[in-house]
Amino acid sequence: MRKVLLTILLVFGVCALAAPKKVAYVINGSLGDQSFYDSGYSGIKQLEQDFGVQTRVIECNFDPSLYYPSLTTAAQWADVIFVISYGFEEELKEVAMKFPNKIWVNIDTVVQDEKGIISSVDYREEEGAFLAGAVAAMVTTMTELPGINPQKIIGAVGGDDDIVIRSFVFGYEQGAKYIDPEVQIKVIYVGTWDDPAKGKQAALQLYAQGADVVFQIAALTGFGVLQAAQEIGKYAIGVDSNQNPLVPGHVITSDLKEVGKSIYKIFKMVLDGTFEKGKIYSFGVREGAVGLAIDEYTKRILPEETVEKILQLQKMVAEGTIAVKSYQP
Amino acid sequence: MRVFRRVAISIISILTAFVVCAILIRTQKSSPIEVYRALYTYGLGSWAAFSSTLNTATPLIFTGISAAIAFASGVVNLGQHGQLLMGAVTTAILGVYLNIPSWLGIPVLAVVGGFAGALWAGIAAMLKRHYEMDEFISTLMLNFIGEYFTIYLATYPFLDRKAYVPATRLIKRVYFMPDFNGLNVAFFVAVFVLVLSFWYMKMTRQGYESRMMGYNVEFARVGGCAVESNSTFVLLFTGFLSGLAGALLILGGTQHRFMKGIGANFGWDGVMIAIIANNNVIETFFYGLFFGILKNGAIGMEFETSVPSEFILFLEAIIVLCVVGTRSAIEYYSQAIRSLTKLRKVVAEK
Repeated sequence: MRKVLLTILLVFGVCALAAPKKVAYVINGSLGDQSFYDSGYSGIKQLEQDFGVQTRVIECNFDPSLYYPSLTTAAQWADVIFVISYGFEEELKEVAMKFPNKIWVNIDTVVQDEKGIISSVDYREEEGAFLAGAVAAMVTTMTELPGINPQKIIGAVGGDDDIVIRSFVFGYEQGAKYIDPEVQIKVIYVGTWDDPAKGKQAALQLYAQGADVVFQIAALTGFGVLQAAQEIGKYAIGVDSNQNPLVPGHVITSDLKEVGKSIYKIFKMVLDGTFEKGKIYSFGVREGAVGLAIDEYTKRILPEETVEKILQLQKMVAEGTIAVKSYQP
Repeated sequence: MRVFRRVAISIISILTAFVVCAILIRTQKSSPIEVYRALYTYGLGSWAAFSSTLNTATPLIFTGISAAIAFASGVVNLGQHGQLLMGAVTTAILGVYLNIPSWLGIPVLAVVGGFAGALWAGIAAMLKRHYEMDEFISTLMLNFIGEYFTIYLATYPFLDRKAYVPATRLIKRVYFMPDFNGLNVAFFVAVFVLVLSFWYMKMTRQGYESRMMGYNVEFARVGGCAVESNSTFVLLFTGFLSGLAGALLILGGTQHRFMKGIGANFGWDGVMIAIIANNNVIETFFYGLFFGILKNGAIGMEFETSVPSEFILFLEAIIVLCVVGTRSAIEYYSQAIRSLTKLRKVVAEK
């Protein structure tokens, strides 16, 4: 009898141990960008609702001196740690070594340690940006729309001049050239992720240089791009979250990077045991993690057949009929 | 007696600040006891927390002492931020390319970083010496130049192509500063700098002259102090300390590379600490440690309670106001009482 009880207890204990109860979300920036970091946060909130886990968020507010202690604090408490680790890849490896039994999921970049503790979710952002570039090129040639000039120029505003943003620009350019090889692309790297005023300034410059559509790839800084589009009656493309409703009538579409959905997906894999440590999960249009947000706001700006064409393109990218080249640093 | 009074003022003001903040936490429907307990646990509670606090405090101590020495000498060096960044970037770049053994490399890199900071402050010193330009404005402006210049270096010429943010390459592993059970050697350098600075300010003739300049420049000049060369030296020395802070951030910190934003707010926090400490080197050291506790505990506090870490900035501001306010108030009233009693005596004698 006692043996049975012990076994039951043991099994129960193992189950209790196996099912993660505490989830931490450590980010290098800060929430409230209505874009990248917030997308992940919505996923974390979803976990709380659906699985009854406890969650905590640590925002580092772009302060490198907080990266290491934040990770250590999170690791001491949580079972699963989702990390957006721009700039602290080395620290992440170091802390993960100290807590190898935790589940470490690094998002948006690839971090590999020697022992294979950290898993990474890597997005094929070129695919989404390709579609954004295609849309921008289509729109800049549609002179019948209000505010579109005959010059074939499109723009992009990037946060930093770094690998991920360059991948975005690389895809954006491919998409634009796919529609019309004559389209010119102008890019400004602002150098901050949390300053909408600078983003607006950059966008106004691009519009003044003849661009009709500006793609923002700069988290909160990019919100200024949307504002600029509204102010002078031009068009913008949002990023990461669906930003179409933020400035209705001027944001044509948004290049989604579903950080929240990926977090949800990964956590479900952890629960049903299909999650693998040390693996790189590559998410793109096919997995539904990257793609364009086409909704009534888009349809209010663009005619029916253009929307159809865009959706067709998205399907082709998902199926692999159009092969989008990936950026090689 | 004066030491006792100073300590008492600090403790009373800090307690007052904590009480004021407790009321504010209460109005936000959180428990102040829980918040302060979390602050304690994550700032001092265990050796891991404590050593991490000391590591966090290290750059603050350097920039704080730098500002304290400058202000005490009447030299308004507000360029700690830029000097720290120049020191950091120099060390980070040399750390990638230099090829000497570890025991020699670490001190050389640290000192070279310090000299880079001194050089940056030296521009302001030169402008002051030759063109009588106020160092207040020149050091302040050099911060911006330093900031964008270092970001440029990290984004284009010395960019690590594999990094996901603008950053230089990782310095050679042999130049990583060792740590004792989590406590980095950089902290001992900070203690050494404290002793050195104390000796300079209190035991040397030049330090004495500097302090006199802080009280009254004209008086010091008339009294025969070499005001010009002293203030140049102070600018260079405080620049060196800030540069050293940056160098040790690279050698002893957790990044081991220069990246955008690595200077955080160390420069300005240092200035603030020096002001609270009334430009006293020893007090600066302790306030540096104290702010390290707050900074380090803030993460845990945010984690345990729902109070955001920005709250700590608020607490810091209240502490600053309380300390400075209490000190001025006590000085004002004690002087008033003293003169009153003296007056009474004089009147009674007549």
